[in-house]
Amino acid sequence: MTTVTQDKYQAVKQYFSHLFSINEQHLNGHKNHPLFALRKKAIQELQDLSFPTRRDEDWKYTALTRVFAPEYKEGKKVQVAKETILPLLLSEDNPYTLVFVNGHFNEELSNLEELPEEVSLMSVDEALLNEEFASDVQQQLENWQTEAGYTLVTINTSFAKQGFFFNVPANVHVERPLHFLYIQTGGEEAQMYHPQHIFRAGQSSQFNVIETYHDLPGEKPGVSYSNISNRFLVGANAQVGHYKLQNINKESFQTSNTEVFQHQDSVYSSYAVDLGTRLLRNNLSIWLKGSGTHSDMYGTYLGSENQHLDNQTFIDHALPHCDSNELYKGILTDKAVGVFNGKVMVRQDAQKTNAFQQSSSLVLSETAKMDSKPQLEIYADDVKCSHGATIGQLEEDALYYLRARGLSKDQAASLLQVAFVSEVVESFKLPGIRKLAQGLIEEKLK
Amino acid sequence: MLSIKNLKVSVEDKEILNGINLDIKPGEVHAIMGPNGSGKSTLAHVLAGRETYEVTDGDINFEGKDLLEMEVDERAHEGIFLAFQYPVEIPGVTNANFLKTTINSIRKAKGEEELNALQMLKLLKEKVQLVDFDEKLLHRSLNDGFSGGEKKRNEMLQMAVLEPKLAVLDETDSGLDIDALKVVANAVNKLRTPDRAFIIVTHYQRLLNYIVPDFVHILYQGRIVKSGDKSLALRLEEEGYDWIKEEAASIA
Repeated sequence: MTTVTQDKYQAVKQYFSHLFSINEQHLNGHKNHPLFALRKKAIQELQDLSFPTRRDEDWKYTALTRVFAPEYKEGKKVQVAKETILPLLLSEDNPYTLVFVNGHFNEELSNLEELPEEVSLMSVDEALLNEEFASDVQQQLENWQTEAGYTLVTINTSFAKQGFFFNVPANVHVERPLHFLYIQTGGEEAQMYHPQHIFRAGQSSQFNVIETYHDLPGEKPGVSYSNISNRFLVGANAQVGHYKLQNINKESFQTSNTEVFQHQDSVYSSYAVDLGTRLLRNNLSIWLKGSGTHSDMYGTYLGSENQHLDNQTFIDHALPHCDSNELYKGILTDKAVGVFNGKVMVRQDAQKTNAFQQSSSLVLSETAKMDSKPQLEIYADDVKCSHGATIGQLEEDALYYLRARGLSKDQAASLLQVAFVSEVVESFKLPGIRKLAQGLIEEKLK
Repeated sequence: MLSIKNLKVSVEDKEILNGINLDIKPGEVHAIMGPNGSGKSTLAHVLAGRETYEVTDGDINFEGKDLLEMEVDERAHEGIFLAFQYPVEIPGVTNANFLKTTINSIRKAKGEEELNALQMLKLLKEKVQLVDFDEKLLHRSLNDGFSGGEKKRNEMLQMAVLEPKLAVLDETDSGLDIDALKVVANAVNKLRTPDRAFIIVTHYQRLLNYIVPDFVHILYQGRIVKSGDKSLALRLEEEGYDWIKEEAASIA
């Protein structure tokens, strides 16, 4: 399709292609690595791909032009003192921590000690050379299902650095969560980074993954684009919790694509907290590959100033006796825009499906906006499905009640807003990330 | 302490209060009774400062200050407390957290030091006992899923911790069984002091068996049509409101 917008993206593609060839020159001996072949293929494929535009149904409310306006450089390698990142560590959850600075894995700041022997955690590069995992990982990198984020994932594949592959064999319960802590530093130059991780939960295994995204504390933040790609393969009867929190400066951009494949009787729970960025787009897609599964999708977002925060979710109920439960709650003020686009597909064979979806938002100024688009497509007849979307303001009665007890207008409004999103945050099972989210939310709503 | 003069109040151009005059001194308990729709609750909310009511005429003087010029929260800081007929349910705010916030915001407004966690705990423990409150409810969301009785007890707990100068109880007895009614009355009686006044808004005399008022006023069609002592309430109990309506009609 040739449109004015796609013509503009031609320049973006050329720019990425140019960046890629600069990278290529520095690779020297690594050109024979299978990852390089994958990247090369991806950057070539990108030249023929369209960027999503508002003409696409899945992108109706979100234009990416602003995201690709800056000429991003690849993330800088910089040293960061351990003390500066202390407030960002989730010590209460006692995680294994992987720290990334501007997208570069920083081993010194990370802590992977005492990782159980049975599990494998290795870079995607290594995994592609590993006898046991190579073909599987290669397949994961090549077979992206979601159309909505395909172009973004292709860019991710072209530029991803030091992504990780995490394999938990059957029956292993990893008690401590894995925390991917992404920190970005400031500076005049716009930088980009492309987190890319693959998680595989063997039969009846259990683990939790946390992703957090922050600016380096105490520094003037700069413009960045983080383009995330995650895959979760959840084996039969396995349980995986997945937390994502981003509190990046409001000049930066983030797109995130998560694909989840759930096998019989497995549980996957997603918890998302989005506080920062100028523009955010999360794509979360879940495919149910066995019956008896349970999926949770919880999300909360706070938008102010010019923020544009877009959550798109998709769950494919293909088999019977699967439950899904989705709750997104957000607050928008100033000129912020929120988007919720939740698709629930219940195919003909998916009898006895229980699918619940709720999106609620508070729109607190005349110039703020919420676009909510729940989509239920149901082809089975014996199912329980419900969805609801509410867009409202703070309740006058509640404000009056609190003020009659001596709270100022602002105090009362802040308390009610924190209360509104707390339903989502209270569902977080890990206390460290829950408290971090609560603390940041309370601070933002003051 | 409180002096209401010729108070006229409208809601959406409909006059609800039509020239109320009332004087209340410290330590007094005034019952305001009246049939449904007479304007009792309106009076209670106008004292608390609800913005949906438009005061078209008159004055309210509270301890030498012009009450009508004050915001809702300023009135709370000055020592006015309204126990709501329908306390609002607020999921996501724990009762304990709410109480702490409100206690400290009032202390701050009074220029007193905010309580620390330990002092707060001590205060809450003491007041929970005073009003016979189920301590477990402190850790639940504010009024969320509380029974009618639990909500009213929670209002009494708030009254006990905030120690107002003037407490207005808006039909706190409605929907309560006799045991819950006694708990509410007990709380009020324990909080009666020579410098604290109460306005008890009620439809029925029942509550006044347990909280003995110094004065009873009958509100009808937006005016106080009769004032007396507790015997007036007993007469209403026996004869209903019809004689009041007839008297009002004959005067008009």
